Order: sequence, then C-alpha cells, then structure tokens
Amino acid sequence: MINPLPKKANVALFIALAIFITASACIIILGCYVYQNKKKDISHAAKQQLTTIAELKVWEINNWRNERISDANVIFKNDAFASDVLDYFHNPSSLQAKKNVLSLLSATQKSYNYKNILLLDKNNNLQLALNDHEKYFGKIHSNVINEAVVKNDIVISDIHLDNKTGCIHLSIVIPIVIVQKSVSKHLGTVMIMIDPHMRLFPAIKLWPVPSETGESLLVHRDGDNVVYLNALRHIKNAPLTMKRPLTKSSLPAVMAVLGAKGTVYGTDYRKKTVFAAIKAVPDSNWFLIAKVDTDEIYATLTTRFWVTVFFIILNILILGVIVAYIWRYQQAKYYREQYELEDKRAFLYARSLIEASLDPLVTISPEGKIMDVNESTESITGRSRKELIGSNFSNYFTEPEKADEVYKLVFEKGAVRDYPLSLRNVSGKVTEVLYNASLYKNEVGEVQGVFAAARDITELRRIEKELKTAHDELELRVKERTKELQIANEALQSEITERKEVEKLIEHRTKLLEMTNKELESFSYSVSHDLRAPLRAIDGYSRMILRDQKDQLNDDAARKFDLIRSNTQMMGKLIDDLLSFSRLGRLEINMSKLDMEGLLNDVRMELQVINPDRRIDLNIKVIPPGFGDRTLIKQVYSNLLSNAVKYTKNKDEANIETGGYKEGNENIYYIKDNGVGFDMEYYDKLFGVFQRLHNADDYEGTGVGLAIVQRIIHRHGGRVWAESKVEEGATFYFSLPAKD
Amino acid sequence: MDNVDIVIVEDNHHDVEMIVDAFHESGIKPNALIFSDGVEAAKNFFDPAGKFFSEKLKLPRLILLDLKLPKINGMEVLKLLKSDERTKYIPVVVFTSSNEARDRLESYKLGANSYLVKPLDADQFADRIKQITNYWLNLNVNAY
Repeated sequence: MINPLPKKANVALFIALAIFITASACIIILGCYVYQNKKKDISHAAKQQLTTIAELKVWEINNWRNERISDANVIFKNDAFASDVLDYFHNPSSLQAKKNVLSLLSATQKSYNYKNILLLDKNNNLQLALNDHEKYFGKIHSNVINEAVVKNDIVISDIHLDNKTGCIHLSIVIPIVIVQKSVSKHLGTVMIMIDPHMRLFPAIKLWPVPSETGESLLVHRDGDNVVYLNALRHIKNAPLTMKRPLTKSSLPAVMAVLGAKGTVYGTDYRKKTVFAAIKAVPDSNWFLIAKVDTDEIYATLTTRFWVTVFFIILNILILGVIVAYIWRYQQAKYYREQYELEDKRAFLYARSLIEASLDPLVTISPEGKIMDVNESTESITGRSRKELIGSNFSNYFTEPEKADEVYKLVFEKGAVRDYPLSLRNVSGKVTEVLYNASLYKNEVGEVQGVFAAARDITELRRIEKELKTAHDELELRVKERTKELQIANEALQSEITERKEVEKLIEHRTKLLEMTNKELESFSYSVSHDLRAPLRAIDGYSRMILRDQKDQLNDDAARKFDLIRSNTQMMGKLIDDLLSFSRLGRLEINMSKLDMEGLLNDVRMELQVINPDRRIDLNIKVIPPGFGDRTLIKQVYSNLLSNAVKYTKNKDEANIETGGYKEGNENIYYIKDNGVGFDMEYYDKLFGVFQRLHNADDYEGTGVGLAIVQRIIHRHGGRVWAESKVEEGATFYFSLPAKD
Repeated sequence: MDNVDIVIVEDNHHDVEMIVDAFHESGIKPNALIFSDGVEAAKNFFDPAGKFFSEKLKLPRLILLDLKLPKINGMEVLKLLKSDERTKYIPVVVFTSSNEARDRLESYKLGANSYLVKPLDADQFADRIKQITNYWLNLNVNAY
C-alpha cells in the first residue's frame, strides 16, 4: 500500500507557496520601483527641458531687446542728428533740415522694418513721422517720454494696445539732447514703434522641440491682475486682452508674477494640468513661462505603466508554472520512491512467505529445471540450494518417470492437486508427499514455468493410523455406553410414566381439594346463618318469657331461663371462633415487613379498652422486626396478650414481658406473664381446638384462641411453643422465618 | 290499611315475631307489612296485581330487608328496588345475620341505605329494632 503524502510534503507545499507569494511580491515591488524611478526620470528630464527652453527664450528676448537698443543708440547721443533736429525745429519748413532728419530715421526704420518712427518736440507734439500717425500720440505716451527725459537714456516701453487703432506695439523712446557750451539741452524725443508680432512673438512662440502642448508665455503684472502679453498657442487675439486675477494661484502665470522661480506644477488658462518653468526677463517686468501639459510628459509613462504591469503578470505566471512544476516533480518523486519501497516490501513479503512454508516449494522451468527453492526443499532433499537450482526436478523423486508424467499433466491441465509421490533424501530416507503444482505466467500470460509444492505426509499417515485406532476404540466405548444409556433410558421412561401418574393424581387431588374448599366455604356461610337463627330465637323467646311471664315464674325457673340465655350466647361465640379458625386455612397471606413494637402497642390499647378495670403493664424489650401478614400476626399478639391478661386476673397488675431475638434463620418472639400458668403434663392439649386446661367457670373462653395462633404461625412457616409451671406464669414463644 | 310505614322482608317467622315484639315494646307501633320471601316482595312492589298497585297504597317509608331469602334472595330484591325509578328512593335497611365483607360491600354497592347485623343477644336485638324505627321513621326525612 502506498502511503499518502506525509505531513512533511504538506509543509513543503506550504513553503513552495510561500516562495511563490514572496517572489511575486518582490516582482510587484520591483515593478513599482522601476515605474516610480521612470516617473522621476521623466519629470526630471521635463524640468531640464522646460528650464532650458525658458532660459533660451529669455536669452532670445534679451538679445532682441539689446538689438533694439543698439538700433536706438544710433540715434541717441548722435550730435549730428541732434543738430539736424535742432535745425528742423528752428526751421520746420526747411526741406534740407527735414531731409537730414528723415535720412537717419528712414535708415533706422529700414534696418528692422519698424512700424513707424516719430519725432516729437519738447512738448510731446508730433513733429515728424515716417508713416502717417495721430497727432496726440506724444500726449498718450508722456509717461514713458518723461521717464526717458529724466533718465536721459533710451527707454523701451511695455507692450501696449493702441486704443484707437487696436494695434499692439511697444516703443523705444530716445531723448534727443544737444550739448552747447557744455550745457545739455533737451530738444525732443524720437519714438520707434515696434510691432511685437514681428520677430518677438514668433521667437517666443517657437518651441525648439516637437511637442503637442509646449508653449511659452510672456506675462506681466497689472495691478491685481496678470496680463498675458504674447500671442497664445491655444487662444487667438489674446495679447493684452487676456487677464487673470492674482487670486487664481494655481496658474503658473500668477505664480510667476508673485515671485515663483524654477519649475512648478499648476493649472493653465485652459484648466489643464501643466508643468512649467518660470524665468524673469531682466531689465523688465516681464516673466517668461515655458510650460507643457503633464499629460504629454507622462504619456510615455502610461504606456510604460501597462508594459510594467504586463511584465509583472508574465513573471508571476512563469514563476507559478515553475513552482507548480517543481511541486509536481517532487510529488511524483515521492510516490515513485514509495512505490519502489512497496515493491521491495512486496518482494520481501513474498519471499518470507515462501521461506516460511514448511512444505518444500520449487519453481521449475518449462524444461524441467529447478529455478528456485525454499529452505524446506533443502532439508527434505538434503541438498543445498546451489546443487538444486539448475538440476532436473524429477531426479529427487523415487519414481522420476512418474514425476515427469505429473509435470506434463500440469501443462495439460494447468494445475495438479494432491498427487501422491515420494521424495528421496541424499541419505536415502524416503518421504511420502502429496504433490501440488500449477503453471505460473508472466504479466502477458506467457507460461514461465511451474510452481510446485510437496506436502510431507509422513506425520499425516502416522496420525491417520493413530486416529483409526482411537476411532475403533471409541466406537467400542460408544457401543457400550449406548447400551448403558438404553438401560437408563428405559428406567427413566418408566419413572416418567410413574411421575405422570402421580401428577395426574395430584391434579385430581387438587381439584378435589378445591371442591372441598368451596364446599367448606358454603358450609361455613350456612353455619354462620343457619346455626345462629335458632339460637337467636331461643334467646328471643327466653327474653320474652322472662319479661312477660315474670310473675308466673319462681326464682329457680327465672334463673334457669337466664342460664338458657347465657348458654345461647356461649354457643354463638363458639360458632364465631370456629368459623374464624376454619377460615384461617383458606385466607390469603399478604407478606410485609412488620414493626412488632407498633403492633404490640396497638393490641395493648385495644385490650385496655376491652378490660378497662385491669392494670396492664406491658414491658416491650428488644424486638426485631418481623415479616408476615400484618392482620394475622396482630391476631396472634391479640390472642396471646388477651390470654395473658385473662390468666392474670387474680393479680392486681398483669405483668407482661415481651420481646424477640434472632436465632439461626428465624426470629423468635415471646410473651411472658405472671399469671396462673398451666401444668406441662397437659402441654400436648394446649394448642388443640376447643381444648381447655382451665375450668370454664374460672376462665371463660372457647378454647380456640391458641389453636388460631398455632394455625397462623404454621401458615407463616414458623413454630409455636410454651413453657409454664402452675402458678408461676407462662411464656409463649413463636418463631417467624427471618428475612434479610 | 291505607298507610304502610314499614315493609319487612323476612322468611324467619321467629325473627319477624321478635321484630314485631320490639315494636310493641318500644310503643311506636308502626303499620308494618310483612313479606316472607323475595318473590312475594317483588310481586307486591312491581306486579300490577300486587298490594301497592291494586290497593293503591302509598309506598312504605322504610324497607327492612333480610338477605338470606328463599326463591329470590335479598340481594336481588335490593337490586330490583334500587333500579326502579319508583322505588329507588325508599330507604332500605339490610338486616341480616351475615357479617361477611362480601355481603356488606355488595349491599352498599346496590344502594342499601344501611346495613345491620342481627345480634344474637335478644336485648341487643330489641334495642336495635327500636333504634332503627326511631331513626328511619321519626328522625329521617324521606325524599317523597
């Protein structure tokens, strides 16, 4: 039988599972780590990129500004131009002067394609313009102009909107100063108007790398708002018109104008989450913001996330398969080992069975050569295993031809049972055997040889012989006994017949007895009625005579009538006693445990009622409980005690002692009085019916009381006896069988 | 006779004489009707030809019944009396010499109103009769 997997294997399974779970957890943690790292890398790269772009833009804006200032510098501190302007102002109608001024201005305008260049006088009135222009322009821009005059330097105005034209532009204000006799004199200003849509905005707008959402913003603060200065990628006509309050702190633009630097996360004007780099533009109140949507930054990350998840799951699956495979392999290995062990056990088991056999067992090849033997074969042939194996099996039989014949028979029939042969020992001893053989086949049913067992029947033969002798002897004895038994049987039969007759007789007698009993009962019933009736009549009439004829009767006659009456009463009492005595024989007895002391006390009280004048001293000593019919035993005590009272009437006090003791297997009870006693000479008449040992005139009574006592005690299986001496009191004894 | 106080069912004429003597002695002197066996008693109570029907007598106030009677015994008479709607309320005093438990039980079972044993002593006999008549005729109040 192959054992089920041991507990150890279950533990191994548990460990394998634990390894699987741990490895899976590691893979998941590693995946998360890689993912987080990647995320960090990406955001770092995005930060670098954005910072670089912001710096580049600021550098470009700076460059652009410097270029514009250097353009302005051609006009500024140009003494020749200043004197031309002075000339022109002195003589505006001078075409030469005008031409001189315009030549520089147009040259400048052409160099960059400026929108317009204006010349204003000291009072900011427009004096000259390259292109048509409003006259009030100088008034509007007086702030910047004044700043430039006070500073005495070139000032670039902020980007602003021309309300009249709706154009966006910014201006470079150049103060024109002439130095005469080392005194500077302010002449007016030149204003170069720049359209930011040219070069500035495109420069800002240009994103140096391919991006879906990459955008640069140029903003400045205007009171409580942030104003978007440049053209936006996602909203048209935004410059200067789009404003956002500073309270919207999630806007990178707001963060920028409030002083934030570096890179920030925020929500842009489109309400999209963005990553932004903020950089202040030097020498201006501008801030540059380079921003990209986080979605774009992490777009690659999302793909990477799913790829990671995929690889994690793949790894776990592969791991699971490997663990399961190892587990299966281990299990298979365990079962294989078990099976091999079982195989070995089975082999040992079979071998030990073969060796344990007392019968010589051999396997014989189809050619009749012995292939295997057990120890019994060695001992019965007297040859060693080495000798036997390979030799012809028939060599060891006394009749080799017969053995060969039997061998052939095995091939014909498949098996041979209890074929008698004889084996010869090397010592010459011959052993009688019963030869049993059957073919044995391999798993595909090919005959491999014969398996043969020879049973040594020497002992069997001896026992058979002994058995036969014993059997014969036994048969003889059985015959004898059978004869004896027959005689006894006959005797028994006759006894049975006798018994049956006796039983019949008993049955008959019982029936007879029952009939007699019934007759007796009806007899006593009649007695009680019919015998009493005449007595009653005698008494009745006597009484009537005594009453009615009193006057006619003399004293003697009256006395005799009284005697008739008292005798009638006596007769009545005799009848009653006789009846109760005869009934005792037929009464059923109800046995129970009796409290003798209680019974005695009851009887004493009754006696005292009947004999109110007598002093009765009843001394109850140790008394064992009895076993009997309560009513009857009470009757016994009643009779004996009333006798005791009766026969002590000459004494002042009736001294009665009573008690009991156990003797052997019966309890003995006694009642001892101090009365007149009786003469032991007449003891044999004491318990007889109507027998009296005293004169009826001295002691009234019917002579039935003790007879009743005896009958009751006999019916209980006890005895009654008495001891007395005349005038010395009497002791009455009765015994009842003791019951444990 | 138009009114019967007591019916005596008794076969022993000596006993009857003693009973009647006791009546006289007591001075109660009830109107008594005497039936000397069970058949006579049954006939007179239940037969249309009987005394109680033909003479249209009122039912007695007491029946004094002996048990040991010829022909129909006292127990059967008692059974008849107590199972008839008309007579079942008449008090029946069983007056017998038997003191057998069997007889006592059976009598009460059948509906006897009282059970007395005839005493052997004539004084006691007379006294008992006096007490019976006094109690059942003077003291006891009947159903009808």
